[in-house]
Formats: sequence, C-alpha cells, structure tokens
Amino acid sequence: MPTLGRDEEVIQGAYGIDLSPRVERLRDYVLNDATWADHYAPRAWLVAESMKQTEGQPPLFRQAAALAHVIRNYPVTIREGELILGYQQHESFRGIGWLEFDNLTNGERREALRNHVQNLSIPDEWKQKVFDAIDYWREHPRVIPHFWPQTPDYISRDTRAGVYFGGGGSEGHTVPGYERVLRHGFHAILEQIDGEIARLQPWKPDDQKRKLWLHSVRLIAAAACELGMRYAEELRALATRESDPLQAEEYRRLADICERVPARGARTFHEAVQSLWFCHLIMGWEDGINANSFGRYDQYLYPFYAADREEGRITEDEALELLEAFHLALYKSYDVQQATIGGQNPDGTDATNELTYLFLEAMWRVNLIRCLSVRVHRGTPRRLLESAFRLIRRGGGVPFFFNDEAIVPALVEKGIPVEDARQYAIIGCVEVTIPGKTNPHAVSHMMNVAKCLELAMNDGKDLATGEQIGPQTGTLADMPDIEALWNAYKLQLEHFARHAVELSNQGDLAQPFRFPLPYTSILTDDCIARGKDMTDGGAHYHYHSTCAIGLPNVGDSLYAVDQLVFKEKSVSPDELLEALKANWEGEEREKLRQKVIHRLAKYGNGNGDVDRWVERAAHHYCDHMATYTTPHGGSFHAHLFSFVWHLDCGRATNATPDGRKAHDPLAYSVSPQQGRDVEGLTALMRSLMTLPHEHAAGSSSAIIEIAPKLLDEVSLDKVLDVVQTAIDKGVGQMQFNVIDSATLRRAQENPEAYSHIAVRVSGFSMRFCLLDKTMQDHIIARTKHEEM
Amino acid sequence: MHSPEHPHKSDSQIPSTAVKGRIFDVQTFSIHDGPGIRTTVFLKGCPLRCVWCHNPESMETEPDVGFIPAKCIACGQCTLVCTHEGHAIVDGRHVFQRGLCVRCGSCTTECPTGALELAGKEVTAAWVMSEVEKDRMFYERSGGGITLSGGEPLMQPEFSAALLRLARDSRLHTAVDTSGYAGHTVFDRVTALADLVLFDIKMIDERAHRRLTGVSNRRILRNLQRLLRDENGPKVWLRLPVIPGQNDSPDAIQNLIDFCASLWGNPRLEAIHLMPYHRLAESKYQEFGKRYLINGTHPPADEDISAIIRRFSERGVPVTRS
Ligand code: SF4
Ligand code: SF4
Repeated sequence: MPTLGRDEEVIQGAYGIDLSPRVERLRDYVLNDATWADHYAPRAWLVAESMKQTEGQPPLFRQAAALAHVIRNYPVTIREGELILGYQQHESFRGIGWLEFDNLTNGERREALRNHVQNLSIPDEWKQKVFDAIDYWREHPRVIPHFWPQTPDYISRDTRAGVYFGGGGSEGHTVPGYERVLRHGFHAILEQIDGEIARLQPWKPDDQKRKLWLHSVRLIAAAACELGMRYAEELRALATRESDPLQAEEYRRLADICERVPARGARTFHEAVQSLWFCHLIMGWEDGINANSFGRYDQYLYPFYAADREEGRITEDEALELLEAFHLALYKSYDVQQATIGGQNPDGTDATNELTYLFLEAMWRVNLIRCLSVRVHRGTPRRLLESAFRLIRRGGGVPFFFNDEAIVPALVEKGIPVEDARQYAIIGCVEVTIPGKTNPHAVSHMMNVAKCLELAMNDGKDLATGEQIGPQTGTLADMPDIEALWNAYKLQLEHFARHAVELSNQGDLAQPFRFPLPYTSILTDDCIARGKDMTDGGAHYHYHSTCAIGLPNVGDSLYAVDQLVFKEKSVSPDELLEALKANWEGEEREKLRQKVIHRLAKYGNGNGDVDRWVERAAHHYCDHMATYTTPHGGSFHAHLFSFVWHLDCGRATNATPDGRKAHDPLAYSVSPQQGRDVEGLTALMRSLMTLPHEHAAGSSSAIIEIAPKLLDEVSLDKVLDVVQTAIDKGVGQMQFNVIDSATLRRAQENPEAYSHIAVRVSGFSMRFCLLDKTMQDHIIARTKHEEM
Repeated sequence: MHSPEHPHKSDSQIPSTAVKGRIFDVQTFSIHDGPGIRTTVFLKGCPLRCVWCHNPESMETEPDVGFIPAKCIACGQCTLVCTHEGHAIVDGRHVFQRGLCVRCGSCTTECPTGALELAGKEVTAAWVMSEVEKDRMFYERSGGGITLSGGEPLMQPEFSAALLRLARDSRLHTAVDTSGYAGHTVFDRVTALADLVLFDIKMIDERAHRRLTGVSNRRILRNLQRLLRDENGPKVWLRLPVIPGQNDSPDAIQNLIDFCASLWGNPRLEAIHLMPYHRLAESKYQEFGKRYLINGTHPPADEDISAIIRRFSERGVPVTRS
C-alpha cells in the first residue's frame, strides 16, 4: 500500500484535530448556535426608526442617515472566545433586513413576514420592533422612481422567450477599498470628505448636487468612526464583570483594538483584521451579503503581518488562529463573499507571500467550504498550486483559479492601465473588478446565445411556438452554406444584444434613484473627489460585464449542421428543422440524434474542427459587446460565464442540432456540454485553450470534473503539469470538481451524461470501457476514503 | 507456438511516415506508462494469452467488434448493412450473432449510438504521430512523451520502429511497454529505439507461465538479460502484475523477489512497479464476446500489496505500486 500522503493523514484527523480549543468553540458557535443565525433582525427596525426622523428630506440623505443610525445602534453582541468581534448581517439578501424594498402594502406579504419573525430565535422585544417597522413601511411605502416608466414591449417579449435577461443594476458585487481604512482609518475618509465640503462652490449647480452627496455620506463616515468604540465600551464592561483574570485581560486587549479601529489606521495584524471585519459589517448593512467581496486580502493584510512578525508581536500560529476565527466569522452555508489570493504585483512579479499560504491553511483546518480564488500566472510557485489542490481534493470545488495571463491582457484591452489591471480581484462567483476603484455592474445581463442560434435557423421564430421573436433572417432551408447560418446567428445575436444593452443601460441610469450606495462609494475612488455616488458615475472605472450562455452548444450545433446538412448532405435542412421542432421524437429522428451525439466531433475533445466554432462564437461575442458604451462612458466586458443560468436558458431553448433535447440544460460556461468530453484532461485543455480568454475581460469559466484517483499522490504531479500548461496558454478560469459518490450515483442512472469521467491505469485502454458498476467501484473506493 | 508473424511486413525502403500498423486506441493523458504525461498508442495483437489480460480487445491481430447492449436502441441500422446476418432485430430487441460476423466493420461505422464499435484500425505512422503531437506542450512541461503499448508492440516491429524513429526525430521521450516475448533480432531492433522499456514480468516459474499466459517465459527472460547488459540500451522499468489466485502464491512472490534482487543494482534498471489486479476490464470482455476466465476475482487488498512491498524492501529492492 502506498504510504499515506500528508494530506490523507490530515483528512483522517477530520476537522483539523489540532484546532485550538478556542477555534473549536467558534466553529461550534457557527454550526450549532441558532441565535446567531437570526441576528440580522435589527437592521429592519433601525432603518425604520431613522426614516421616521428624516421624513421630508432628500432620499439620498435619508438613506445615508438610516445607515449611520444602523452603525450607531446595531446591538453589540460579544461571545466568550471571540477574536473577531461583530456579527454579520446574516440573511443573504433583501429579506426582513431590507423591509424598505418589500411590498408591505400587501397584507399577505405582511402576514408571511410576521410569521417568519415570530419563529426567529430573537428576544420578544426585538420581534415587536420588527413588527413596528413592518407597520411603518405599510404606512409609508417607498416609492421607487423608475428612470423609464415602463420596460419596452420588445424587451418583455424577449425576456419572456428567454433570449436575455438581467437588470444592469450595481447593487452588491463589488470589492470596496477596505485597504484604505486598514491603513488610515475612517477618520482619514471623514477628513477627505470635509476637505471636499470646504472646497465647495455652492453657487455652481454641480456643486449643489455634490454638497448634498458629501453631506449625506459624511454621516456614514462619522458613524463608522464610532463603531469600534461601542465594542470597546462593551468589552471594558465585560472585563470588569469577569472573574477569570485571563479572560478579563483578553477583553481589555480586544477593547484596545476596537478603540483604535476602524476609526484610525491599524497598527497590528489583529487590528487590521478587526478593522477589515468592521468595514465588511457596514457593507452588509448597506447592501447585504450580496457578493460583496474582500479582494486581495493576502496582499493588503501582509504589511501588518510582516511588521508584527518582524517585531515579534505575533507567531505564525497566532496569526493562523486569527485567520481561522475570521474564516468562521464569515462562514455562510451559501457564500459568495469571495476573496482573492496570489497573483501578480502591479509590476508583474509574483505576489505570493506567507499570508497566501496561511489563508489556505486556515481554510483547510477549519474545514468549512467558502469562496476563495487563487490568482495564477506563469510565475506562480508550484507550492501554491499544491496547497490549493490539497483543498480541491477534499471536494467543494474551491479554490478557483483565475489566470492573470488571460485576465490582465483582457482588462488592458479595455483601457485599464496594466498596473491597475494586475490588481484585479474576484467578486462573488466568477466576476472581475479592480478593487476600490470600480463600479463593475457584474452580471449586468445574460445572453442566451443558444436561443439566438435557434432563432437563426428558423427565420427568427421560436421553434416550438412559431412566435416571431427575432428579425427575419431566413430559415435553414434558404441557406446555401454554413456561413449563411453563421451570419444569421450573428444578426440575431446583435439584434438582441442591442436590446439587452438597452436594458443594462436603463438599469444603470435608474440605479442612483433606486438605490445609491453611499458607503460603498466612500470606499471607491474617485467618488469623494467627484462628490458623486459610484452608481452615478463617481467610480474611477465603470463597466458592465455581460454573460454569454450556451457558447459550447452553439459551436457544437454549427459544426453538426455543417457536417450533416452542408458537407455530408445526409440530412436535408427541412428534415433537421423538423427533427428539432419535434424534439427529436420519432424513430428516424432519434437515430439522427444518436448519430449526432456519438458520431460527430464535440467541443471539449481537442478537435480543432469543432472547437473552432466555439472559438468563433466566443470571439464574436467579445468583439460585439466591445462596440457598446455604458452611461458613464465605460465598456461592456464579455463574461463567458453561466453561473446556474445555463439551466434557465436551457429550459427556454428548444432542441439544438448538437443532439441536446428541448429544455435540457445548456453547457456550463465554456465547459463542454456535460458528458461530451471523453478524450481526457489534456484534450479538454486543448479545447479550452482555443478560446479567446484574453478578450473576455469579465473572465471565462470552466468546471473540470476530475476523478479523485487522478489526485492521488502518484497522479497529482501530472495534473499540476496540465494545470501549469493551461496557465501558460492563457486559459482564463478553472474550477476543479472532484467527483464524489453523489455524482457517481447520478452517473449510475444516466451513464451517458457522465462519460467524461475517466481514470488512468497503467497499460489500460479506457476507450471501450463502460462507466459501469465496476468502474464506479474503482473510483468510489477512493472517494469514500476522501470523504471520511 | 504463436509465431508473431507481422501481417504487414513492409519494405524497409518506404519512409517511416508511411509505414502502416494496426492499433485500437491512442490514449492521451496517460500518466502511468512512463515519466510525465504521455500519449499511449495501443497496438493490436499479442502472442500471449494472459488469463487476466485487461485489454482483451488487444489480443487478436484481426479487428474485434464490440457491442454494448446498454447503448443499443434497436434501431436496426446494423441489420441493413451487414451482409453476413450478424445482426437481427427479434421482437423489437437487437441480437448480435457474433458467430456469423466476419469483422468487416461496416456495422460499426453505421451504428448511430456507439453500441457497436470496432477495435482495431489500420493507420499510418504519420497519422499516429499527428495525434501524438497534439499534446506536445504537456510532454514538454512534464518530461513525458509517447508510449507504445498493446497488445504487444513487438508484434508489429516495422510499425513500432517507425513510430519510435519519428518520435525520436521530433525529440519526444519514447517508451515501449512489452511482454518481452519476441525473437531477439526484433526485440533488439525495436527496444534500441526507445528511451525506456516497460518490461512485464508475470511469473518466474516456467510451467506456470505457460499455463497462465500460453507461452514459455524463457525467451522473455533471455531478452531481459540482454536488455540489461546493453550499456547503451534504454532504461528499464520492471512491471509485476499481481493477480490474486493466479500469480501471487507465496512461492511465486518469493521467486519474483529473488529474481528482482538478482537484477537490482543494474544501472539500466531504474524502477520496479507492482501492478495490482483491477476489475475494469470486466465490461470489455462482455463487450467483445470473450470469456473472462478469472471473473469474480477481487483486487488485492491494500495490506497485501504493502506486505509484498515490504518483503521486497527487506531484500533491499525498492518497489512501488503503480
Ligand atoms: S445500429 Fe446500433 S443501435 Fe441500432 S440496432 Fe444496431 S447495434 Fe443497436
Ligand atoms: S462487422 Fe461486418 S460482418 Fe460483423 S456484424 Fe458488422 S457488418 Fe456484419
């Protein structure tokens, strides 16, 4: 038997057997203490309380005042053993925390909310306050002004048909400039705001507007300066009551930290982490969890860590414990609070540092999956990849890899200076921003390109209903060659792209009226200098990223049509169209479908003839989106990413010539259609390499499913070689999902969809090998081991 | 007994690129067939008949027709093309009458579902190399290259030699995975072109070897001795399959250990790998209508393999599990 790898020993010591008692306890709080989970209630009544006091004031001012009120009054809760203080708004987004957005004139909705609150494990007195807040909003419903009174009919029709959807707004999905608070504190921000106020020339109309904005955001900065102090007071009170002198001492130590941050710049690593956490808490009160992310925390925390280590103020173990506590404070069962580690420095050198590894180590030890992305480039140390794969092996698909070799040039192409581009960070799942400088309008709208192809084959009409949705670009029968279909596809897509951009830009322009983001704005360059909200053109960079969904299906389909209809001429255009309309039903049609699936090349197998079509479609999308402009002069960044919308888009799309049945899912992002990549990891990578990642400034994304066997001690090295080659060749983003027993159970029911699951055994040819019970046992033997 | 007569004995005048051979798979990302990431070319035909063979589709020189009932939709397409009544649809179900099949392959290109597949096609060395070249970037990163496996590559010496020459010319690391069963001229000529030989040793006892593989191992052992004597020859990795109930008796293992101990220290011999039995071939036997004589055999327990490794190391021979 091979000697157990280091990793396996740790797995067997499940849940990091050597966690400190403190971290064990914190972990237990997170997993088992329900009161904590319901701790989001206070924002509801605090906002209403403030609103009562500011009636008649301008909306922006009222919103800022409400947030300041929340910061000043959110109950301080401290539990023994905590190193990082303060509870995060726990609800994911816009539930009772955001009553102002709710439709509380509706009695049923009110009732539902009341029941929800009744069942929360919070004090009765809190419940009463939430009920009062519900009543307040019932009586004073928030009128949300629309930039445009109505969505145009054609947009409603297109979105109903599932061609595109989205809203163009920019709430959530940012990486604010927390670094500045860590270094200089909120006082510095307050001073900057006051400086701008002092320089105002209010007789100028623009400055009138700036004045309102600056005075509003000032309330938030001022309240933020006091946040730590409230904790410090509570901690000192606890220290006086505490009988255990050690615990009392700890409270006093924490009080010192909170007295300092976030008002002033942090002096130690612990202060920096606490300051970061306070900054992020306020973010949650403004805008919810909502994919607001941390950015490159291994980078901006590093100077504090290095100085502490230098001065002997902290050991590596203490730092690790702190990061574990931070990790736990952040933990959500569904989490899109992304953080980014590794990557390049602004000068292009490698930025990996000890904290990069410590963050991975903390995540490993705490053993709760959360969002984490590792930026990689040609100069990424092998050791970093190894550490990342140690986590990947455990399942859960994290960390993700983002490739600087693709994303930096893509951003530069959009006019972002290379030094800034090299500072990019990840938001939410797979979105790209320049931290602290950007309003990125992530996932601004989603384009179902497979639907565009459907319409291109059928004169703009839905294949099932016959409804005319797109322009009349002819039917397949009118087309002399594949280029004609390609042109029709482009016409359809470009037609809908114009509408979708209209939707995005409309959402963008409505945002400052709908929901400005004053707190995010004061942490985003150049909002304060311009006296403008980030939603209103205040940010240094603003762009939209828009998703193309179904590119692999479009490529496979174009290739199939070319082969069958134009090259082999084995199928007439009408036969094919009829087969698609009939959803491949009927004996001959099923035969045709089987032939398409099994006998025609598919994207994902390193076959240039078919990959070329996916590349072409992706390239066209990137180029085409580059022709549009956002309201504040930004550009549209192509985002080759589907999140989970390939399911929705699939539901909206009829049968496609790649053999897919109507309403079945489309391919995830730029991964091959499930089960169609059967040639192994290197062939898949070759396909991915053909795509224009370096033009997709919104990032591409690929999930690569991998049998745990391939990550054992013998094989991992070779997988890493593949990954490094993919990095060299500019594959944009990669996520490795280790196949688990649940996947294999699904595979048992539907082996065809899982024919991409491969193993490698010396001298063994897989080609004619079925994914049968025996093979599953072979894979699962390992999986069980991993899951212990 | 089986004289490895090559079916396409080619004129040595023809360029390597044009030499033809019969293969049944080109497998990329092969990671256990030599150093680094490799593409393994599986050549069809083998003079041995090991009862545990995990590539049953490799044994015969002729093409083999594989049939997977689970994939068949009984569409009847195959019945339309077969001129030998190999297929029939009976009561809406498809029946493959293998006995009537002459392995012409027509049905396998027509079957829309992939239920029928042909193992064994004739290709040129140039075609194989164009496939192999696609993964060059991965070989370069990992120190990998091309491995000839099978089947028995030495059964198609012209073709193997052509592939190895072409691979060498384009600076790829070359390996040959062989049973060692070939005439010494062929053996020397082909292995001389390889950087590495993966040499299978299945059993030391000659009678048992004959019983389990159909051939004597005398030639094999002699070839190995010669290979290790050649100072300019390729590196050698010995590969020892461990098949429970077949070649893993204490005596058999002891013989292997003694044998390996006698070789260990030879500068050509780089590594010795144990290759524990696995059951993945089971479905292939069914698919190709071949009898799997050791059906029901379980892979050896991890403990058993480690025990063997320990016994080797007690004799000073480091052995790893492949
Ligand atoms: S052609 Fe293939 S799918 Fe159709 S009946 Fe024959 S074996 Fe079955
Ligand atoms: S391989 Fe040829 S002979 Fe055999 S079943 Fe198919 S068509 Fe008939």
